[in-house]
Amino acid sequence: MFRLDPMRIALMVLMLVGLEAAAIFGGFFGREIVTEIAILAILAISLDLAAGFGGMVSLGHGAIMGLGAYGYALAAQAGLPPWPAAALGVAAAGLGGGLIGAVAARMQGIFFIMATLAFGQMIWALSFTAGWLGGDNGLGGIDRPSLPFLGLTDPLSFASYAVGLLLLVFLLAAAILRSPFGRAYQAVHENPSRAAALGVAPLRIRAIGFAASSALAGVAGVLAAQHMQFISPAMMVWTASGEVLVVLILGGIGTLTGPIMGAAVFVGLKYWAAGWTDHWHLVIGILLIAVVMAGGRGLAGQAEDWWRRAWA
Amino acid sequence: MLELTGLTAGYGPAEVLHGLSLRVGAGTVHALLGRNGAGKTTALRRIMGLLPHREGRILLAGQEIADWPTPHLARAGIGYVPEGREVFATLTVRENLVLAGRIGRGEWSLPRVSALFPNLAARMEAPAGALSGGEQQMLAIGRALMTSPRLLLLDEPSEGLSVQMLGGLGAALAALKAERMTVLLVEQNIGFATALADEVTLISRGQAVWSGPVAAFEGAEARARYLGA
Repeated sequence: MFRLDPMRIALMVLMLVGLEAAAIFGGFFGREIVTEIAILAILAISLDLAAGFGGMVSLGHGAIMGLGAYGYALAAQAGLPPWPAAALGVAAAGLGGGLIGAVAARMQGIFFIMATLAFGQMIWALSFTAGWLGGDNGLGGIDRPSLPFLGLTDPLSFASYAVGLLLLVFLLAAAILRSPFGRAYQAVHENPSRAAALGVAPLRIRAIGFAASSALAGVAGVLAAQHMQFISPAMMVWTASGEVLVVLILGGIGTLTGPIMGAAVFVGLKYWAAGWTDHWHLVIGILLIAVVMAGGRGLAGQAEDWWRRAWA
Repeated sequence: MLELTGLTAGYGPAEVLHGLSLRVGAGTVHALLGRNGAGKTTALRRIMGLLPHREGRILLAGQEIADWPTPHLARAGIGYVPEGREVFATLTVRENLVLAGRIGRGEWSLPRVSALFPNLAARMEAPAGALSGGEQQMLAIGRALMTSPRLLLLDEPSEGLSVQMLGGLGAALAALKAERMTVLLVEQNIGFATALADEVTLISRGQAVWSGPVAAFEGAEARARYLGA
């Protein structure tokens, strides 16, 4: 059951301040990395909501994020201003994910994973073959929104905007989990038949939870489209979904702080290790195995354990 | 309030209930007794829709409910307290109760449950997993009450409780009975059950073998034959 205790808040604030500092002092390259981390962290938080708190491990979240990105790009190309277009992108992801959830919520474990994989592949295949979606070439010339005091045209203001959105998504996910709906959702995960005996409809709760998770994945998609100002089916390949799952387990599943830490370590290690070896996946793999063997609570889970020991 | 007629139920190919019939009158406590494996827990799980419908009828206040899904049954007013309590361990006591209260019609509130179970009132913010066995049992019953049930299904509430806790639980259930709550009580503890019950049904191998008022149960030949007690 999710608790927003002082330790989690402190860890989250510490990480976001660290990201913002890296954006301010990190130069162009640092700012690009911070934006990449924020996008990945938002996607991982959305997956945590489904997998960590609802037991719905999804291999379709990359494609659902793509729904957000394509929804934004198409709406913007149709002449919609950036903010309504962004809302449309998030809605597209939430709606698409909700439909997937409505079907897949009946399944458990490996069958659920396979269903999300199948839906994800269908979405990817559509984007790849449909001419009106740009096909393999993708869609370009996508506008960024503007904020008062932040033009969002330079890397620093865009990275700060991404970190702000990450904070917003974290708080949204926490609010969902702390709401009466969220408690019922987690109760269904803990014991579906017990929850049903209290009048909670497990399938409907699971489907709504998956839709909420998908909408947050849509935020990551919109942000990614705004960042690159270009999107292509590559972002929706199923290995992208697998990568988020790695980030989530590395950071700590069922924590909400873990996704941020996992994304920072994943992206950081990728660029650092890529500087001296082509086999940076190996480095991530070894770290992942170490984290899983240490108890599977992830980096954030380990950090929480240390924190508790230090203060207890 | 509740009427079972020729009810069958089981797990996969294994049939446990072979045509169980019984009647629970409104405002009465009905004890369902029998040896291990007789089908008592299966009967409650079947009534609550946790096992698929096969044959037979289940009437709740005259309405056929045999093929209703579990959440509907909860909303229709059946409160179910499973064997082994199954509280949501990581939720606090308060959250467990509030979660169940979502579908209640407000007849039961946190203060009313606290008054019935003073032990819970003192531990509202504790995670339910940190409660003792007896307190968890009280929480499980309190949680079922929060749904404002017309009928309470209790599966071995006395199981594994200390003598002191058993006394507290007995008093709380007696208070519920005094308020004319309808209860179907499954028990292994015969003394605990007969002290509360108005009616008794004895089951063996998935069928009712004796049914009658609790006063007649004391000297019934079936009691010695099927319970050895």
